[in-house]
Amino acid sequence: MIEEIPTVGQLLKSVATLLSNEISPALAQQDLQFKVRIAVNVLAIIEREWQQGPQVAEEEVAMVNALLGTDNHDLKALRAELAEAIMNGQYDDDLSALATRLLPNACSRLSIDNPLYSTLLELQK
Amino acid sequence: MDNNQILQRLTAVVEKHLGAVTIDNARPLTGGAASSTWKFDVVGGDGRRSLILRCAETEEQISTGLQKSLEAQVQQAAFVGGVPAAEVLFTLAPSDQLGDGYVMDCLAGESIPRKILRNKEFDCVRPNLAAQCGSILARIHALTPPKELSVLTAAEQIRRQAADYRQYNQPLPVFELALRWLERNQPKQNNLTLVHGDFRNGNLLVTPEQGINGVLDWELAHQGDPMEDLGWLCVNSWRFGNRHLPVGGFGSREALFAAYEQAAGIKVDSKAVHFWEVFGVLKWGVICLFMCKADMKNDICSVERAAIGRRVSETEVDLLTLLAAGVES
Repeated sequence: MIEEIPTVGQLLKSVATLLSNEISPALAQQDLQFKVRIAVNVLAIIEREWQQGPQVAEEEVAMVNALLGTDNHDLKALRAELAEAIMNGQYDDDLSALATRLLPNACSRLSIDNPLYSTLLELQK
Repeated sequence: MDNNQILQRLTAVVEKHLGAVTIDNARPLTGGAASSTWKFDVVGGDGRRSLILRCAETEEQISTGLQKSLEAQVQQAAFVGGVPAAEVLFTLAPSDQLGDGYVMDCLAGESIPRKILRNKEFDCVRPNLAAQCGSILARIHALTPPKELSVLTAAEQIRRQAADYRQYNQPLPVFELALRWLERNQPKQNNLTLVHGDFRNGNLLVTPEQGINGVLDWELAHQGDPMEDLGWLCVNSWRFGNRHLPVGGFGSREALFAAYEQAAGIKVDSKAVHFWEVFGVLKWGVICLFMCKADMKNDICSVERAAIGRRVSETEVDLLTLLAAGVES
């Protein structure tokens, strides 16, 4: 990753700060303030994805390859393949063991989307 | 139809049903994604009464909800049967030119979950809410469902969720796992009863004096397994951060089940409730996927819908937590 200054994270933070500290207080309509809050939250998702996304995707690729016994690097194709294997009953013997194996990466993806989600905080205890 | 036109037509239809009255304070209410809702006062001989007009949204039908006339019929049956629900005064006719809808009493109470869970004025009633849910659900499940209501078995509902999710062509192994588990762990058919279909924190009107004063949003009512309502009420998304209180973020399963059993005179099938909770998490996940995809035009959707699309991973973690062995849920 090339680290230009300001970094992507710094650029996003500057926009988020503008929206929260200057734009939002100037808005009369409550529903617009609400939308701005969501927009700030979306910027935070982008920042986390920029920082953690590549590693989380790599982790998922490795996990699915290990499950399927394949060596593929296309995450979308891997997800489709695993989804199909599950649909076809290949994991019926122990679905709860499969859930246990999928959980860590699902948590990593959730850490990007919503790191304060209650279940995630509970699992991290 | 602009707001002035709605108001004119509303005045006409209210006069038709309630006689010469004046309409005052009419304003549209936000909330209710698939409905357009107005609150207004009628002022006449008997004084002032607050009413609600609930109409189906014409432009973008999100839910596969009931026709409003049937929804009104279910809600009125609940009101008559002693369920805290708003009394329906009349249903709109096509000649009223307001679309598909009905007019009901406006009940007092707070419906915003975070306020119910955090505001001090609800401290007194909060510990009783789970038990109140149990006895209200028992009462709903004892009502005779209108024959027009579809029967939605577990198998049929799984089939529908699978079809909805697969149409987006976005394979999610966790959703597949959940679907597979649901197919293989269907509860044996409990009695067919009236099912509210969306009984959760967010559709309950709560007052600081009485606790639950109203049950809202009857548009997903159907005939089915009564345990479905208990499971949906426990879905983590409706706990709004209070994960340790599985019933709506305000109470325990034990309190819910005990009150239900006492009022219904039958034992709660806790395995079936667990099944419906898993189903409910998946259903909410498919809705999140749908909200974002359905809104997408030329690869762009609104920021609210975009954010909801990223809530899919919350449901993935909740599903895996429910299904993985040895993880506390």
